[in-house]
Amino acid sequence: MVQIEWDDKKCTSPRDCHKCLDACPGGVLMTYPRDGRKPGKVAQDWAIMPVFMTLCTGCKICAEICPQNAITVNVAE
Amino acid sequence: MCEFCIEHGQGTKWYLQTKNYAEELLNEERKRWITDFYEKFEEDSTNNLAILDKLVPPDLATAKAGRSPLLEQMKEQHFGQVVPLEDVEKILDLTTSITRVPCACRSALHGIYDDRFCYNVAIFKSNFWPTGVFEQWPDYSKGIEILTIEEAKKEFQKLDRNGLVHSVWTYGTPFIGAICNCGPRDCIAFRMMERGQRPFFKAEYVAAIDLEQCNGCRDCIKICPFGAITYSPALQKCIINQMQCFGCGACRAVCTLEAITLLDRNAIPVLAKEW
Repeated sequence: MVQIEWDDKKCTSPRDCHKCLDACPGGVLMTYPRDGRKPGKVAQDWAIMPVFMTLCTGCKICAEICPQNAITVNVAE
Repeated sequence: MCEFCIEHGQGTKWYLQTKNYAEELLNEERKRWITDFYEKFEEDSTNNLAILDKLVPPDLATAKAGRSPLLEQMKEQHFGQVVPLEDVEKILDLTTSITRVPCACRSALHGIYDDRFCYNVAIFKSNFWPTGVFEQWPDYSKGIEILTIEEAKKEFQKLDRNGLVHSVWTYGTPFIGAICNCGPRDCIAFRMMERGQRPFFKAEYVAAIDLEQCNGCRDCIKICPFGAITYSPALQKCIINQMQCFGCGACRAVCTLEAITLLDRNAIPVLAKEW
């Protein structure tokens, strides 16, 4: 059983960085704007969300590549 | 013929029927749905894929058999079909406007928001696609380009050579609003297939290799987005699993020996039932 935790306080601009999204071999992570889209405005406040957890092997590449150390991967035995 | 050809194409290719692009279909309900679709695309697709990821037997088995509430809903709202280059060109020839917009799937999956791979096509006079929908969403409208038919054809030829799968998509079936260009890891619809859900039909075609021509270079294997081609060391040839082939034509585009052609799926009895 693997759990991925994403710390929104450490990860301030997932949309510009997206290193974790690119690096994940399983394509487990996705991103979406938490406050939605507002008419006339570029969407803000993007979040990283672990979606395809069935494809997560617990390899921790996402945690290692994150420049802000915002991702924690917990692998339970 | 796929289900939509029968229902919406009078037994011919539904995506070549101008009535399925007609402005009369673009009623208030559809306009609202389309605006919502773009507003909430990343949020909705993230949630939907998370739901699919959590499916456990027997719901997963039902889903894999092609039956799920999500798939039923998509058939009504946003469903696609793979279309090879020659038919894309036929569609483009019918259009009155072609708008290229940033791909929302690549946004949700890769955080990339300026990759323009979606071509909204219209066969009507109003400017619904270039401005009507997107003007309130700068995430899309910033990157919008209007292309001529000739420009679009050139772009599609390039995309084809790069192994991208072209597909038409409905926005409130049977209203067709866009042609997408997808790769397996860049597309929500492809990712849904990883949990047995496929919100699009295979093409009306299927690929075949002329073994006399094939020199076993394996370029087609590398490009096939559906993993439908393997190499036979015994024959030193590439072999297409036609049951697994979606008829996109990516293999044909990269075959320098022109050993691959697309056949009419409907002329092959068993494959004519494979959608």
